[in-house]
Amino acid sequence: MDAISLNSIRLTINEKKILDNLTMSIPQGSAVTIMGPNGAGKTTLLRVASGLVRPTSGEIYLFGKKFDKNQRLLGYIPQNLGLVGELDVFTNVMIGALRRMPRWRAISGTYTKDTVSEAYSLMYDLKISHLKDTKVKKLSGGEKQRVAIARTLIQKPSIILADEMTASLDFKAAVTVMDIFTEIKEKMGITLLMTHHNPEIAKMYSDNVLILINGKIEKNIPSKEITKETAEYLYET
Amino acid sequence: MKPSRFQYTWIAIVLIIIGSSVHLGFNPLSIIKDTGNSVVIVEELLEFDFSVGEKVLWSLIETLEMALIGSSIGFAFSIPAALLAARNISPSYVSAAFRGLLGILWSIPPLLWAILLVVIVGLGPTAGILAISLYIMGLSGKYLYEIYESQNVSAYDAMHVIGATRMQIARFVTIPEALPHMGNQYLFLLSYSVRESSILGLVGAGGIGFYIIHHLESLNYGKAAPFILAILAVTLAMDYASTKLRKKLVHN
Repeated sequence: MDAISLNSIRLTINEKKILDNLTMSIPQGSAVTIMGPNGAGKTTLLRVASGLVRPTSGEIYLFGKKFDKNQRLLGYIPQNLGLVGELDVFTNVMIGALRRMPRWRAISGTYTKDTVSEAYSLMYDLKISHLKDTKVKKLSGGEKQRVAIARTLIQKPSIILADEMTASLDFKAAVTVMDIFTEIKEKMGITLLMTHHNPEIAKMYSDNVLILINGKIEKNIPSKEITKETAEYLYET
Repeated sequence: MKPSRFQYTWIAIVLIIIGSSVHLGFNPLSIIKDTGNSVVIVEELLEFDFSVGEKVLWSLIETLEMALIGSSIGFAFSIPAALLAARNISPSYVSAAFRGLLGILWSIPPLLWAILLVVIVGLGPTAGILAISLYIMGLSGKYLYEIYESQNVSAYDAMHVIGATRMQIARFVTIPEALPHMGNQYLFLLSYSVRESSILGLVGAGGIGFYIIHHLESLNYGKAAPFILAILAVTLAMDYASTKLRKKLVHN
């Protein structure tokens, strides 16, 4: 079954076609990377898929049902991670669970024992427990990525959309974050749709790579077949 | 060489300033031309009459209290008002209404608010405190909604996908991210309010200004001098302290 399907998605802004009759589907449990040159529409595609931007036309299905914000099946890690720098790590993680709490608890910050222990367990898995009281603005790039992952996982999403998640990290740090993330993702059976610039990371952590050029999916290739030439083709286009 | 557009603009600005001065009959040299009066005023001001010492102290305390209460009330109300005025948080019709309200509060100077409020609540510091509160709410609110609107967009995106309510977004993103600016702003507003409170007495709205205008009008410059000196000293001290504290806040 497909976790997420986009059917004939068009998005036009100021008469410019950002997404052009785009159709794609991501099988449940798989990891797919979208690659493409700058301005190809990668971020916009994820914003449309997450419901942040309404397409001009076309339809989105999650597990065969028409997209509805109340389904709460999606987790989203935006390009700059979307963390609150002035809050500590624990509170940033708990933000992900807001939707699951009664409103008064969410506003007053009196969380249930179960949610707190879930947060602790995720922080432990992501190796950020020792930073729980540290303000996020004081963390390194890799630590921030892990906080963003924990905040997304505590939502218990079925699908995660991650935009340039490791963009600010060097290769070694990116691999460390992706290793931990992939292990948890597989344990939880999450479908992952992400964008990346690094073909090596795409090859290591995804099943397929979609090549997006000028708002259209040009190719869908198994990640194993990604070569240096593919990368060169991408960035020369 | 033909003047550039930039030079034309400056020439136009200078011409407007000269034109306005001619229109108003403004002559900066008049202060030098009639030195007799200036010298007498300065001489008399320098003859400090410290018999008013106790009044200076109590009126100074009243001025500081007015500034503290007025700026705190205005600042506290500006936080939710700015949330309602921010376009990235509130629906457009709500933000338009609150922008209008803050604009009105800000565009009327504290002295004018004080004149209106003296008529409504009577003479004394209550009118002054309310005048400061209303003006500070407008000033601080305008500054705050601009801070709210310039915050990290990706944090708002993440909250929208999570399904957070407007109230939750304000509680977990907007306010925490604005807190360091708020501390800075409060200190600035407090020192600004001390300066403003010192002149509200001119219209009977409490504070040290009442004594200054009273002694100046009765030509007792020597008695007015300690009040002026006191407000000068306190304003400078407040400015120095708030600059130091703000620097500390930025480093944290």
